[in-house]
Amino acid sequence: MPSQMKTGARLGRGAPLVLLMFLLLLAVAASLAFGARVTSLSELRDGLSGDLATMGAAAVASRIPRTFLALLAGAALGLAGAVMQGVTRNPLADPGILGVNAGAALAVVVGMATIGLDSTYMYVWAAIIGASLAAVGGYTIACLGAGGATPLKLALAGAALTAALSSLTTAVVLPRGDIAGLVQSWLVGGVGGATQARIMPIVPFIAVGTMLSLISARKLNLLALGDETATGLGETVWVARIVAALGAVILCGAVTAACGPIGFVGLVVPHLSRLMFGVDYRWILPTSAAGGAILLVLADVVGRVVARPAELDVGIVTAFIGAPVFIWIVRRKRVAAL
Amino acid sequence: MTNAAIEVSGLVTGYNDGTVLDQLDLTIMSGEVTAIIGANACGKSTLLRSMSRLLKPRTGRVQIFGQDLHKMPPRKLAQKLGFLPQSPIAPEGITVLDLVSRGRHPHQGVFGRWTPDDQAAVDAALDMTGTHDLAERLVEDLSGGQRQRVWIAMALAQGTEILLLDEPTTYLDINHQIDVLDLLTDLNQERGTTIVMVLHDLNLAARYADRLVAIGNGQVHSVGAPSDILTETMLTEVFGLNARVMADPVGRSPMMVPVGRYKVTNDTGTVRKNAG
Amino acid sequence: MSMTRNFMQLRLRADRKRRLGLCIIAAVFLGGVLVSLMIGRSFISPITIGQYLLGADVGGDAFTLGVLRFPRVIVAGLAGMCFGMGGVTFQTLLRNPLASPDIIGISSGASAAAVFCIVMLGLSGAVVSVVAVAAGLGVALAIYLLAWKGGAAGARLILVGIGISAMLQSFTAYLLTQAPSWSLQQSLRWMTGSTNGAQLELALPLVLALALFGGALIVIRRDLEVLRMGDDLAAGLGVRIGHVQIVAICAAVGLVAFATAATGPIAFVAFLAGPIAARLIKGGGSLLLPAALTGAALVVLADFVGQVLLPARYPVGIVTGVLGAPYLVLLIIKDNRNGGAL
Repeated sequence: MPSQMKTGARLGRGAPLVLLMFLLLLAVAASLAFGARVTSLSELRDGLSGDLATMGAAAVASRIPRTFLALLAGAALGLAGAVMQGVTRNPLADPGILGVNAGAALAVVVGMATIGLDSTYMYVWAAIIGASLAAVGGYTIACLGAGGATPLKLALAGAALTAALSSLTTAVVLPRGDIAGLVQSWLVGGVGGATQARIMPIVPFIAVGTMLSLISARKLNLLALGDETATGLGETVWVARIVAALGAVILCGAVTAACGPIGFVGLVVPHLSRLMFGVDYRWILPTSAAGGAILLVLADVVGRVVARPAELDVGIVTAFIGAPVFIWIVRRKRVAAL
Repeated sequence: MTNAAIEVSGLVTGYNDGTVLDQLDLTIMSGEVTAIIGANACGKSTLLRSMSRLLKPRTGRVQIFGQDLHKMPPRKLAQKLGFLPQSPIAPEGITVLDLVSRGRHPHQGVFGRWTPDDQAAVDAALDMTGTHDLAERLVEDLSGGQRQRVWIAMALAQGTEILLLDEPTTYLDINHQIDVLDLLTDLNQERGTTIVMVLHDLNLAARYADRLVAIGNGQVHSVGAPSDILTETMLTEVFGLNARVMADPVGRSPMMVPVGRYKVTNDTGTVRKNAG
Repeated sequence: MSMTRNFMQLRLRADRKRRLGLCIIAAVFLGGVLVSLMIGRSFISPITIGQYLLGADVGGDAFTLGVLRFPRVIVAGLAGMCFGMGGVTFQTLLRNPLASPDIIGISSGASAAAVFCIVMLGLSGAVVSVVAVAAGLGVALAIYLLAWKGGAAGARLILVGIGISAMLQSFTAYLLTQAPSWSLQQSLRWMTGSTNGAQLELALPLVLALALFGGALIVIRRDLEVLRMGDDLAAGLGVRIGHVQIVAICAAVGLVAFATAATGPIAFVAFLAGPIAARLIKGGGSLLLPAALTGAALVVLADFVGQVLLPARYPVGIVTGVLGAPYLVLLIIKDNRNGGAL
């Protein structure tokens, strides 16, 4: 009976969902327990309950903010990546690949050099403006000409844009010895050393970005059928695009402001989510957020553990996880689709 | 008694700087199958896109059941008028059922709750197009003919009184072309859906359409029953083609046979080069 | 008869235009070399430079010219030639102006290897160059193998390259964070390319690379031209595609890797040289030589701009990187308007 087959309540979404939640808990636990010092279960409990008598418990407590920031940033990046892939109808769209992160970084650095920005509160605005400009620029470049924004054109335009923007960033910093330290610590900031002062300013932005993204889920479902079909089904395509893209750009800008540029999370997670939950964006978006949080928290743990006692920047870890996935996606596609 | 489903008056439109349609007037009758024909780049698709919401007129207007197309809320319009582009995109990994269900979008509220009406419309669309057995399959695994049926099913699920199709038979084998046109005729006869399509094949257009619209020079060259429109004069004027028109041996419509420069027999049946 | 003569005239005219274009590029390059030699912290007149070249005693200027300016301009010019030639070869092979070695990861590979040798292993000199070249070839091979799927399609090759490049760049960035702070100049060199402190011994490997790899490319230049029209068509015209591709890729990677080992991955030179040369030399013909000269002119002039004309002293890679951005946009817009397959 067809009626039982509806409504997209595809069998077998329950199990992946439980798995996702389990992984999320596991990642958080690992993030609290592992670091330069491995803590015992009792120390973990003490640290969480605020009893900081032992060194281990204190270490656990100090890992709470960074775990929280990793969760927040990972969820935002995963969600932003899924939205960008939907808006551009392009499997390779990602804030890192498109040059959006590089744009945010340049804007923040210019802000530091010219008007003396020095806190996350101020970075956020600069980062969102830079991210928007880069997103619009990269997408416009890729769209020009016949055939629209193919994955190849989008990736090339993004790579070239990133190269140019990073050169500009260096050019801004180089003659300014006074801000070099500030820039350096922000650029490779990652989620380490997170404090409340770094986290709180981005929370409202992430909330707004998430809301804009989630209300776009059904519109992204229609955009997936092509602009003409979506129009035929009563959607005003450009409005849908702008709302969704704005949400994604706000998310990217906020994350970049707090953590510096982090690539590939937004690329990897939506694909895995699509494998597990199908093509419906009402599922892809929230599960990508959860998946992004898991990935970034785990990447942070890996970064803390592999280079002990030093730490590996989380962006480097995600690049090493992400690039192979990127190549896998490229290999899976037919050449015609590129 | 039929009345107007779509009225186009004084339509001027085009892309960028170029004007494609210039002062075009046309009325599409409700409950009929209309085929738009014309040479390449004459503006057939442009006309179809103007009759949906894809292209705004520079001047002139398009009315759907007496209401201005561009003043209607997009969803209200999408409940009355469906559009199937020439090469629609199916996202990778989507099932037939999912795709057809997306046709219900204009009928769903803000929260997108799935109602029994939605379910009934999807079931009926799958039934009518004979794609019920494919429901769980992935769209990318289907053959070209099956895929086109699925897209038509999505348009059916939309449940509109008017359906516009841009070359629904391109890239299909001849048997699947007939299949699709028969299906659209079923739809027209069973549900009374008004169908407007751009067709390349003139003989199929003449066979399946109640009314032909020939477009040339950015304007309507002629409109009417196929027997009045598919004439040797029209073929010369609109397509610049020398052709003979005769009675279709299996239908009542006219049929045209082109005369090229080569391999054309004269009356005695010998092959001669027919230059000039 | 008159038909034939017309075609002959057309061809002669095209040849004249081509020679004129080449002369313009060469003149710009030589002009760049001359101003770089003349102008710096101190001014040295062309006459003095001529005397120095003829072996006359020019006093203190001998040090400025012999130790500071000549090595720098020679290394810049040679590296530019390598980048230009290697870049245009990639662009021709992959039939895409954006598919230059600096975008698809060859330069990042060579650069990451060089940084690893210097920062982690404390090596220097020729060993670094050799490892950089090996890494460049290794990355090219890896990209080729990863993109292989019953044939290596151009689009897949480029995309795989972009992925690898992103990974290598973040690896380089990580290595540089491990470096002691004195090496800011060093790190800039390996991230964006610089000719600061160039010495004459850097020039020798570049000359060898140009002779060997550049020579090989010149030999197969006609086949490369035909490949531009597509693999199928080239095969139909009797080009042995596999052979030509392998030779061309190895030679181009060699050129780029040698140059990267000497100066770091000078941003966008490989990417810019070919398209600029194509615009100056209209009407087909091989772009290898024009692109080499254009690359040389670019690096020499950008280095001069970065050292002398700007308020702060910038390494050459920053200048070319910033220069590349607007040109890139222009290129994409123009190419698309001409219906180019991007």
